[in-house]
Amino acid sequence: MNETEHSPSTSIDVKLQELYNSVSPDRDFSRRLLSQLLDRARQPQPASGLDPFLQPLAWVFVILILVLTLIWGINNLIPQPPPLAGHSIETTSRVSFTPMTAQRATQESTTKPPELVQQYLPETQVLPTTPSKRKLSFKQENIPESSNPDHFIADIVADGSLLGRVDFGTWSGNYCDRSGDGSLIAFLYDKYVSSRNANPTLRWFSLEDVNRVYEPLPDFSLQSPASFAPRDYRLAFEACPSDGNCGLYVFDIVTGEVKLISAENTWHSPVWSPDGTQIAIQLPSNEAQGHLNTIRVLRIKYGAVLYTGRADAPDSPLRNWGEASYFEVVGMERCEGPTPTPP
Amino acid sequence: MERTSQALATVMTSQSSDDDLVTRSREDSRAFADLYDQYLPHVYRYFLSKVSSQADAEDLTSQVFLAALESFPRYQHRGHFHAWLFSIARHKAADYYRRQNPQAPLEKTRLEDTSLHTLLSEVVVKDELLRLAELITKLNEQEQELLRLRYAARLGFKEIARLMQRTEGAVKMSLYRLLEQLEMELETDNE
Repeated sequence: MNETEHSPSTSIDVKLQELYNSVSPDRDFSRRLLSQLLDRARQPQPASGLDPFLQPLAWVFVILILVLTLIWGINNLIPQPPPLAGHSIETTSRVSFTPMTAQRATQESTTKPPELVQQYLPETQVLPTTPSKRKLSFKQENIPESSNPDHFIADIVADGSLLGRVDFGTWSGNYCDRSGDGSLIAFLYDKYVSSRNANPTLRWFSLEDVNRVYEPLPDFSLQSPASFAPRDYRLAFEACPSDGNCGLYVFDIVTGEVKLISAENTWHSPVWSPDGTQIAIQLPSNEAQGHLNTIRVLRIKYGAVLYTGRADAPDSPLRNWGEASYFEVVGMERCEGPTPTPP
Repeated sequence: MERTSQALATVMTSQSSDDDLVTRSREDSRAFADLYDQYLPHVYRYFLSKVSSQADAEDLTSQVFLAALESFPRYQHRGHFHAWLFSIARHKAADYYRRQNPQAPLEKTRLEDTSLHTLLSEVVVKDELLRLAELITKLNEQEQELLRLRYAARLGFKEIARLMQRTEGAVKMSLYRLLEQLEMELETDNE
């Protein structure tokens, strides 16, 4: 705020301040939360020394770890999720992704056509090279259609060049994620402020053709942001389809396959392991007993639970997942730069 | 007027102290507690004026600060900490409404609960404030949100504009029109 800001009527301004600021947080609650925050900030370190009595057990533990590592190595010989049709995701050359592949696939599994015809077709400047690896910005200036204050329609700009205009929906819906190779953008589209019958749905588009936005699962009401697998075009999200079978789903843009991984619905963005074989979900506060960093790690292939506990515990798998292992996705932040593909 | 100026001065001071606190919090996690002290009332009041119970307001407030703490190392400070915190709060609120009844029309759920009754039940309320609260519950959700962000969250116009992805001028104009409308309706009620 600056000093020149003033309301046209001081009287109503004061009344509103009185109305909205008449209550303060309960002291016990305030202290309890602060204590939890400080506890979280301190993050207990694992003990450095071992009791002599525990040393034989430590050897058993080390042997067990070696056996598990061996089993893990064997498991890794099992083929990973199918490579992308027509190109390698690691390449830095022009991406030859063909959205029609996904369109055909999803048309078989859904009754409504997945492709949306964009109503915004501004003059698009063709970039000399692929925008996949570029940093993007989303600008809403000078867009007359943005009459609804919470509706986010943005021009997508890469290095000063306009790629096109996309309707990202209302503020609650613009959770956004970018594929590991930087070529695809997925977001949660919602218009619930302006429509009584709206439900958030999954939408995606390729930066090669910003004017074609797809809605592959129109009957799925998304309950969490969607998160791209690090190495391919699979998306994980929590959703309630029209048949009421709510849970954690993985949708493959290339094949159009959608798979229920777990019936759990925790309302937080799923986080992928760097190799794309596991997913972590954040547990709701009632199950986590107030600790919001309590997680469950699931194996994609069988939906098996691999871990339940604090995300920052010494044995938490997330400790080895690196920078990608965070749950909070705010606004368009994750779409601005390509997510680095793990080695 | 004096009271308004005092409030504005307080916010201006907090803006400059924010920069200092955010910088210190990066090196000393205990400094995050100072940010917490500064913003807890705003976040709590924002939720209390929005959701159906004190317990829910406390739960959502906890979620916001824990999420902020978790995301803090990745937060890039450009003088928008207050707006950043409330972008988390707004997402948490959206998640809350989805959680209430994922299959129900969300706006309906929201309108039934967003009536300031939670807030009013906590205080001894003057008749005039009660009438004002009733008028506010008749506003659409966008207008109610604008009032919450301005008066409960105590955000500046620039920050509200950033959150609502509008221009600062458009936010000011909307708020001024809204205040005039509320004042006019309040006066009509008094007559």
